[in-house]
Amino acid sequence: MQNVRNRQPSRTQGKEVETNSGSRILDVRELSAFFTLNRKVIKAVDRVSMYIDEGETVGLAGESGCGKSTLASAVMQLIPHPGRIVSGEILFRGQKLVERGEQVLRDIRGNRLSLIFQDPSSYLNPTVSVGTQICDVITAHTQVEKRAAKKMTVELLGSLGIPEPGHRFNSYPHELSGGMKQRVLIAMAISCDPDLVIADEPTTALDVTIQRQILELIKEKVIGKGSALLFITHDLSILAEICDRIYTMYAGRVVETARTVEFFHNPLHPYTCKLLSAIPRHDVKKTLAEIPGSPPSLDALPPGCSFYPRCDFRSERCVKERPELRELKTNHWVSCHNV
Amino acid sequence: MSYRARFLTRQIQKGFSRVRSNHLATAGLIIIGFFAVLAVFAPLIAPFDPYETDLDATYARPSWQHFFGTDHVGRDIFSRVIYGARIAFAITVLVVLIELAVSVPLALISSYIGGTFDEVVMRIMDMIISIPHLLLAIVIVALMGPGMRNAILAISISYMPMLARVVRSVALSIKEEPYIEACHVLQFKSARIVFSHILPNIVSVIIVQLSLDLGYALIDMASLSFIGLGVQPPKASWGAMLSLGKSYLLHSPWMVIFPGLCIALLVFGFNLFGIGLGDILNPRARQRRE
Amino acid sequence: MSERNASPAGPAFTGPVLQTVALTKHFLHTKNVLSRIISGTKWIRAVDEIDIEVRRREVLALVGESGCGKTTLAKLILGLLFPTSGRVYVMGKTPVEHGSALAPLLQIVFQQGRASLNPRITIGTLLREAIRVNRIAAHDRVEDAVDEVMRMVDLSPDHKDRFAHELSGGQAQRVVIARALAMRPSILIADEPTSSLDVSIQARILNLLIRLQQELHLTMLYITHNLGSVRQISDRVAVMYLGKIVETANTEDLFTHPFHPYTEALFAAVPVPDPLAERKIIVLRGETPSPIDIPPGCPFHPRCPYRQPVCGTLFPEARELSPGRWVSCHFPLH
Repeated sequence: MQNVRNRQPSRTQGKEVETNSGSRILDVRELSAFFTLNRKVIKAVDRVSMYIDEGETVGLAGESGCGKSTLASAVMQLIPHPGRIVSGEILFRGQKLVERGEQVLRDIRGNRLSLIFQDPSSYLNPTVSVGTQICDVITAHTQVEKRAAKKMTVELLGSLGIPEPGHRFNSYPHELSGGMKQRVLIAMAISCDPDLVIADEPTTALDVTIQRQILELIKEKVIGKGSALLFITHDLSILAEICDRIYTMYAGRVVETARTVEFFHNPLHPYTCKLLSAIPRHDVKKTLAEIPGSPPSLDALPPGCSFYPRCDFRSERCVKERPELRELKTNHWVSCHNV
Repeated sequence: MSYRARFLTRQIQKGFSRVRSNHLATAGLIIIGFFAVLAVFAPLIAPFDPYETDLDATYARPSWQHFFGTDHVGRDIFSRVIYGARIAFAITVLVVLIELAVSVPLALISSYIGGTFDEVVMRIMDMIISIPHLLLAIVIVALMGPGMRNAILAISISYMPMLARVVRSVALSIKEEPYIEACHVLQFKSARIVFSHILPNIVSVIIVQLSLDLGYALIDMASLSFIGLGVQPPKASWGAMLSLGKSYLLHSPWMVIFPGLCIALLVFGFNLFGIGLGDILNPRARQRRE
Repeated sequence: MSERNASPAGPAFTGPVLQTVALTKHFLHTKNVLSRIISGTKWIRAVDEIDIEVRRREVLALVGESGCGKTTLAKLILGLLFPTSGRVYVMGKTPVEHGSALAPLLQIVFQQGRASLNPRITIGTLLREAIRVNRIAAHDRVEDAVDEVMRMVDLSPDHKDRFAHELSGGQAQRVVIARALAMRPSILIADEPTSSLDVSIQARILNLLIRLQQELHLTMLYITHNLGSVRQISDRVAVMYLGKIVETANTEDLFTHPFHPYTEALFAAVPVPDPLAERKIIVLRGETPSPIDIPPGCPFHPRCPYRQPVCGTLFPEARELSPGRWVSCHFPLH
């Protein structure tokens, strides 16, 4: 899997792409998910709306505690106790997901909606060989019988760059390196040709060169095969490379969303602007922007804009009134009073 | 108040509120506290002198005059039980203190130095542990002669290896922690690292182990007294009372029931407290709370 | 904070502040005698014949992925580990020769941030103790010194009573920096000081380090795998792979024209926050090999896109291609 080539800039290069009227795979509407702990209510996700169309790659960016992982769990209907979805709706291919029966959800999860997580070790059963784990996914969701599933699995492992896939089928997770385990997770995620793959920080714990391998793999095997992808990360640079559209979250709310080129070349929300200028770049020498203060604690959010205390552009209105997402330019939505 | 004192008071207050919020620990503390009050105020509470015999009122059933009845020489069992609490506490606390004073420094130093010294110490501990507690205690007492003092020594010796092992294993893992490495970089001397940096992180483990040992010590002491090797008559220890009363079990069971109940209750209290404490001090529980 | 430690080497020492000469550290894979008999004695060659130099007031970045040996190198310089062979010189003397006088000269900001703070001790006490034990300030001036160093890292002295777990990640990291600076060192090693932090906090810590380095005239060894930060803070860069330095150069030279294929691959691997940037994508094959099984010849050759037969047999010695520009490769780029 060694190649050296020149990359073309992002395929949606600022062109006015008409909103994909193909099916909407995921539609999250005013979703709120709260955690209740010791009589404190933590508003992890606060009236978030977003959508993903067929074949699209959407990025969800934010720092720790902004609620992006909770949002991913919410979509899968797997929020851990004591969290729960308080209001709002999630539609998967038009089907409601909130408060659906386990049977329906089980049919969707792993099959048409799958996951790739940050720490593969926690998501692989240490007592079962990796090949069997992938096979189990195939046999659980399709009519394929065991022997054929095993053949598919070996092919899948091979196509994901795992050497000696037939032999590796029988390996246990602890015998594999971090990069290998992540490939196994990806194999599990794409084995049933899902409509949507949610990847939550899949490359964060990996070395730089291995990150690149996995990223290219995701580009080829997930995006390349037509699945929609929700890529969640705090590393905005990765999103610049692969996404069609990006959402930024702060303190449980979406603060900005736009198409990729527009997002990076013309950010409007003060937080996004600061965040982008805080990223050190190895191709350019620059001063790094700082954001004073720290993110608010999610159980004591101020009534107005949650970014207010740290914002350079704040005003009276920001204290009292929560800004709603407004479409300030075509397909570019910002929640700020003062832009 | 000075700055230091204010800070310490706040820490203690925090500690108390944590204990109060844990039901097990609170329940245990109430039971222990109850017996402690009995022990401290024994002369005020006990209606009779525990050693005073009354040969006209032997084997008396429990009554308003003698709440728990009397024994074979007419001594009031209620008073003896109350005074017995004193001995119970004295014994358990002494055992635990001796255990603490010897095992903890030994284990800390041994784990830190490592090498042959550590190996030798651990093998000795292994040898001691391989003999069942009570048996070892019996052997030691048999060699040194019966009596409360020797019994206390014997029991605490038999407990030392357990505490030493626990302390050592925690100390070994803490030794590798980044914050201890930082001490090396700051050129701290070994003594400072062991006692000011490693020890505070082990305190919670030690406290839990000790509070459980309090219960075990009481049982072991009662057992020793039961076979005549512990507290000698006429001292009013619960175990000795059991030993005495067993011959009269059929017709004067109260001689055995009440001291037995007290042992069971106090051990239960120690255990509850120890388990509750373990809950409170469990780092994972603390992290989840934060 | 203007007092400078008199150079322990006597009259002003003019050589490199930090220097390693053929520094090597091998670890035994296992001490277990039985497994050594069965599978042979294996060595982890964590650091292998490393020569680096850091000059006064210079910031040298040490870049590499996990397992390349950079943290081992830091520990060797600090004297926490002893070399298998070769030497470490801090201001002309080995760490052992310095003894306890090393602490006020050379300090480290550890990678693990909050984990390098004792969870049972308040941060005020930690700082006080460090200062008192090393006699940095007179007995009655200790508290002032603590306040001063906390303010230097933008922490309010009100936080003295806090425990490590009561602080945010960024604050905890600043305490670690404060503790190192409390020793008034002239040399600072920063080992991945920003790795577990959010992007915006990383920027603050990085800016803080840059400012402190300039204000306090620190010599710094900055260890990281975050290439972006390297460009902002360092004067020179050394790239490490499997225990060896593969390339050394001035920062600007290195980033504009890497000579070693691994360096080039590293740069190409990191995404940039610009969707329209045209970039060369290099995907290296294979996994990062472990330091137990180091390939013969050039340690990078199994993954190198440009390898030739000689790369697998002959180890490329470091050559100075231009002043200050060292590369360890048979076929350097350009």
